[in-house]
Amino acid sequence: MLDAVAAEWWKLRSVRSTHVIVSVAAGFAVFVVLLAVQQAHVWDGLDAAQRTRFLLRPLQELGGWVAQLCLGVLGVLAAASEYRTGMVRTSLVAVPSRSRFLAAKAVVVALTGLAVGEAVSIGCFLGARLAVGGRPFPDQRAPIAHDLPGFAVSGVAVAVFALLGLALGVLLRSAAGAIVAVVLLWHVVPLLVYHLPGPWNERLGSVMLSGLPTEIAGLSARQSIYGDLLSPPAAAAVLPAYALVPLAFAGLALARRDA
Amino acid sequence: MIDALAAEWWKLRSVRSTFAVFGTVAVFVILCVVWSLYAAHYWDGLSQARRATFESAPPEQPLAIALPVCAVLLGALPMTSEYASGMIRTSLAAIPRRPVLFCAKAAVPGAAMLVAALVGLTAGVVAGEAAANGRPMRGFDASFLDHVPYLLAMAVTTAAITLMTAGLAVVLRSTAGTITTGMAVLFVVPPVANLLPGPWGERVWAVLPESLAGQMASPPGASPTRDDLSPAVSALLLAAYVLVALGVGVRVFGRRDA
Repeated sequence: MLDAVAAEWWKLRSVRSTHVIVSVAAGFAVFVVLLAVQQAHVWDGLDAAQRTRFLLRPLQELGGWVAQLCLGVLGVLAAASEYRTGMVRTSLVAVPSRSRFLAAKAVVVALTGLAVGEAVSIGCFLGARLAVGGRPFPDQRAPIAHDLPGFAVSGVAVAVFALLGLALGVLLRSAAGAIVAVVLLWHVVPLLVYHLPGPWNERLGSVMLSGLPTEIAGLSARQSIYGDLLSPPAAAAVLPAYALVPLAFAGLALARRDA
Repeated sequence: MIDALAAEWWKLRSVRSTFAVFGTVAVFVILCVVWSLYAAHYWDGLSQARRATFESAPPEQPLAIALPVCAVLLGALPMTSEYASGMIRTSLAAIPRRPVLFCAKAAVPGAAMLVAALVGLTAGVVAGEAAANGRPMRGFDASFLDHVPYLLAMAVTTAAITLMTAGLAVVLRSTAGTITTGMAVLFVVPPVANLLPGPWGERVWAVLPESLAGQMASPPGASPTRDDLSPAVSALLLAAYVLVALGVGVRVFGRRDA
């Protein structure tokens, strides 16, 4: 198993797409911090009434949201690119146990997703806080330790997206198809659900993957397109299901189909 | 040129991904129908007072969200799938004049997307009108003729997105890269633009490709809330985007090894 994981790690770190994806996610985090510097200047020019409505959190959450898309694509490519080149047959000769093959890919993709997700998500949180200095934004008054777990969960959601992408890549075997499926789950379906008449927009909006970190953190989703009807434990149970259920189907399909 | 177009049309209609894209368009047309039926049903259950404040997205809303995604796919795949398989070299052996091949590869999906968008949006709006069946629901009460300019603008914008993606695809040559970049422009840039300070958020929003449809012809019942571009300026801007993307595509395609 360790050898299979090592092989997957070697593949992942040696392809150009991984470097591009991680650089884009990191670059976006830097961009978020720059925007926070700008927000701090805007804050200085506002009067007291406007300041009570001026929030920094939507900006801080943007980093994790974009990382979800980036790492979802990384997960897709971990599987789909091997199908495109046919190298998956070579890989399966090297690791004939298909469940072990998928598990190794899942371990590497999940850990990469977790590392990048936490770095981007927490980086955007702390970076934006640092950028606004001591300015008392209405949503930044809690101590760092109080808000940090919420952003850590948002980093976990990035890993869930990476695993979801991997599972879709194995199931669809096509980068184009799987990336579009990831994009649908990431933003298009939540957008459609948001436009539904109530109460369904809130009900369905509460189980959208990108909105789960907010619910796990127990925050209101009023500023977003998602709902907040799930309790934190329920949301915490739904989050891993988004990765594990598709992975189970991917495992079945991989074991049954010709490569 | 006709032969190149015919060849590209033959390729486009013979691959599975094209059916997946147009199948997605069809599914979202069905979603438009379901949407309209549900909105009408919902409206029936409301009190008079609630009906006065009822607001719903228009009947073509589900399709309007999905069309740009389909447009990006259809623009990217004819180019990037040939790079992935190496068949681009065979295509270039058959049609050595690269500008001709590139234009055919952009024009055929662009035209197909234009037709699909027009048909799908018309079907969605007609279905919405049938579902509303004379109910004075906001969002559904405009007549079909009022919708026509907006539908045309949406369809043209969708086709333009396909053409722009074709230009991007020949630069990036990667399916994953092209589609992800397209999705980032469609979905990541607008919320980022919203966070930009002062007038810049609205300025950036106004020049985004998907925002141009609503500025070329405003949807029925919508009142312009931001400082919109005039219809002529937004149409020119869209044309400029397409020309720049195609120009870059022709140049890059002509200069690089396949």
